[in-house]
Amino acid sequence: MGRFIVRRLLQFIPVFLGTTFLIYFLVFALPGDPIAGLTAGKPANPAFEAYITEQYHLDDPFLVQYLKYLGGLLTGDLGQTFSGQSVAEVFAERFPVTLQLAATAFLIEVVLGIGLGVWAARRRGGIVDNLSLAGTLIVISIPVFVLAYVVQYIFGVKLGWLPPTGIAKGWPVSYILPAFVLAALSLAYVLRLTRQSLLETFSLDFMRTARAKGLPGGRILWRHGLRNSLIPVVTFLGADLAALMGGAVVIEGIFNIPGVGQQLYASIRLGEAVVVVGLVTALVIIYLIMNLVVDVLYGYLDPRIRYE
Amino acid sequence: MGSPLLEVKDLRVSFATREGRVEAVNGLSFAVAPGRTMALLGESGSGKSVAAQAIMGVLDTPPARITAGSIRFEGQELVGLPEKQYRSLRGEKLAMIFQDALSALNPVLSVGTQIAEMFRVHRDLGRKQARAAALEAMAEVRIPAAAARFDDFPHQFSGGMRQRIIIAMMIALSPKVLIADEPTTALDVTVQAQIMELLARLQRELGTSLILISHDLGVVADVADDVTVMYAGRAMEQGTVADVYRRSANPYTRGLLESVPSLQAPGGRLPVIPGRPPSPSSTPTGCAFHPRCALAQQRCSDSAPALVAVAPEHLSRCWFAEEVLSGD
Amino acid sequence: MSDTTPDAELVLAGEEIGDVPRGLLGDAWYDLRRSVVFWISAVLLFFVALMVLVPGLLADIELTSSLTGGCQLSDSLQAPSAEHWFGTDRQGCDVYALTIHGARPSVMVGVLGAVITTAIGAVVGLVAGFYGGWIDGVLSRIVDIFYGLPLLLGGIVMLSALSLPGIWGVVAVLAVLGWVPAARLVRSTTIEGRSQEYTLAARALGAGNGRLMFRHILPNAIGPGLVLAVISLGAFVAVEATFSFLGLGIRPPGFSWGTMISDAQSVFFQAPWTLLFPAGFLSLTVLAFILLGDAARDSLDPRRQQGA
Repeated sequence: MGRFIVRRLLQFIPVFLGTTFLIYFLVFALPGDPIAGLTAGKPANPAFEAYITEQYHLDDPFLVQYLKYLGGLLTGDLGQTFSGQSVAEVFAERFPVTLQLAATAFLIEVVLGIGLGVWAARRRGGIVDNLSLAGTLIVISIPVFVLAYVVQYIFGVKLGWLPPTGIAKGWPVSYILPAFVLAALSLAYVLRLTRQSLLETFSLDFMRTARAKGLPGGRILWRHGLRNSLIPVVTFLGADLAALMGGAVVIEGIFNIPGVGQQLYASIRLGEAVVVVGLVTALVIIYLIMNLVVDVLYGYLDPRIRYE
Repeated sequence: MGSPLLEVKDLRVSFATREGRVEAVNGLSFAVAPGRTMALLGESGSGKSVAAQAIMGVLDTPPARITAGSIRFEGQELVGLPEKQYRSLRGEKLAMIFQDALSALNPVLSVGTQIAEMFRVHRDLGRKQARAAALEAMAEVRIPAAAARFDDFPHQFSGGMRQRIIIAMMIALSPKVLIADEPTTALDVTVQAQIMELLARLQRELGTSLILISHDLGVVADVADDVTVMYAGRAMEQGTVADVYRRSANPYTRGLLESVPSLQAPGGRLPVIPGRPPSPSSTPTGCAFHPRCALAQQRCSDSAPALVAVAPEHLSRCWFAEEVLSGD
Repeated sequence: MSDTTPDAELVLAGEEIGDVPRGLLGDAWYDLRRSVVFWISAVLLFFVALMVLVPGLLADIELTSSLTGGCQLSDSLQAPSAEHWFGTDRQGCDVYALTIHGARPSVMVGVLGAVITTAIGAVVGLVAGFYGGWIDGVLSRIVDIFYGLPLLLGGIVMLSALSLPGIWGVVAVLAVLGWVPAARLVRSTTIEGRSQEYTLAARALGAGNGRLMFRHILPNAIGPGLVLAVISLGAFVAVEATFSFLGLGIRPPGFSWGTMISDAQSVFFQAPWTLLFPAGFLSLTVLAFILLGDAARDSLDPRRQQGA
């Protein structure tokens, strides 16, 4: 297991370098004038232009630019906002809120998704199974920002059960609605994946062995069935952290949650591209690190990966 | 034969398919006495594995269903037995080993855990005692360095070792009946012999009855006391190995025996049974074997023969059983 | 329907098709025509096609713009009526006409995105899977890097920095970041196909690499690739709407379902129809593609009779 973790850490380095390079490349090396892009077409202000040129080392050759930018990243320099605040500070200030929201959503997605998935698979063709298949199909089809408005309107405004915006009521009350919306799409996928994976596992030979051993039904399901079925679900959950990060931009904007996403949402609309690039880079780095954690968990679940 | 330990009577198992129900086992009867070995011999699709799973109560229901018949173990009826009671028999009194040991083992649990589980569940042993008992079982089936390999996973073992792990798991609680479903088919020839020897030794030591499911006439001749030759879900011939192999009263059995290459007389063409075994959804009328049978008459396609005694403890399902028997 | 033993199934299938070999796609089409899900999606997609190809037949384009006098501020935010079936928006434009004419950009992005990402993914996956070795190593690392940059976050960065508004910006984002799933899929089917006996036999008979790839290996990927393309098409329609909603896709005077929803958010509580109609059309369109993908997957799956 130790060697497995070390190997994963070593594999993480090229991905980290590659992904940050990719972000940098997408911003500065694609056709078009990056300064015009970063100022969102507003008449260029020479002082700001000079700032951008300096911040991103635009006078240097491209690779040197990137290396300097990478050096900045590693020392926590993500650039500055229009008002001169450091983007890293903005991120540090707002990230706890986003983390709370994302963690709540993740919890909902894992507990409800796997729980309902198991239920649907065990009672295949039953009410829960059919309802969850229809329900997940609807959730998958409705774009997240539409769902956000509908949920906000029904539960926040019409019924008034939960606060429609802001985090004044604190965790968990203020977080329930946005976390549910943020989790909804992934919840649907986790449910379907758990169900399908469990049904496939049920038909495998070792499940018959477990029965031939005279094991009780619960032990067969949880210890022999689910453990194997969770492997594709965990793979999905790793990739899904990206959806949570991206979804947070939209959800925090709509529900007025003062996290990184809301700042991004506002900065996009204001055309503050430096802030956008900085915050996204930070989110991507967090995403990569969390993916590393999921990878290690994956190795724990599936010994065949571990000993590869 | 003494009083039977396990008795299967007129067992019928059918599967739901898109085109209605299909019979996979069609009136199978046999009995196994304590300590003896009964072989179910037949080509693939003859219903022998389905019969084995029906005895263990591990058929996938649905689509499978036991539609008629009885399975008695120590006088207790197993068909319709509540799951809770059935479960306490499985692993404890009835056990089964499988053809493909790799897929029969859970890939994500260590082999030790999977063996120890038997003691944890059936004997309520603690972690430590279960581990010790499992190590003993692993040593019993001659897995080298059992203690060191306890925490290894199935994919780290060779095919023969995996089958030993399954055997260790299934004999762990000294069951009364052990069903071995093609236990050596997936293995190399040299390993096959070792596994069969192991099974024979364990059977002697534990006094277990063995139901050996095989399509291999050689293996059956070596290991079994009695044999049931199956075709299209039915018994075609039943008796001691000596009776069935030396004095067969059934054209199908004869066909099988003649198609075995003999090392003593090399050269020449091997006779084969023409055609293919029928699929369960389109079993021929009358005697199921008649389209492939050299002796078939009008009568064979019109009505099905019964399984009748041609000698004490020797049964055959053929309209011409007597003629076939005296044919040699 | 759902339960068949493997043996019986072979025979039954043989009887059913009258022993006429039809090939995988032929069989799939035969099954597809019997699928309710397929017909629901087909009907939905027929209407989507009408809106995209001949929107003028359904609604007058004049009613979508104040420049042509089609919208009167005095008509602002009227509830649905006989004259304005879906009501009017803040500018007094007819929501029905906007919704009909707003289909094209979203669906165009979906179609172009699906075609481009599938093509890129197929080439990368085929080359990586077929040649293996260091080529696969390098390509797989590149895939890992792109996998590290989530579509939505990467898209936000790209669209913030690029001055490429309208559908082309979103299509560019999809082309750069959206091909990873297709590449992974094609790579794995290629590796599978490469080791198949018939491929080895063809190689032994002297078939060249090109012939092996296109005659023996690629056809295996067509089924799953098609399914992925159709499902991504639905997802990309939603992606376009999300970017337009964030103000990064279509910009005024252009409009799409995404911009309509974005415009409607400030008046949603007083005039929900401004949001619900475009949102409903958007959701149904996404649903139609997902259903089509589901139906196609079921009919292409050789194990479909097991009904998992």
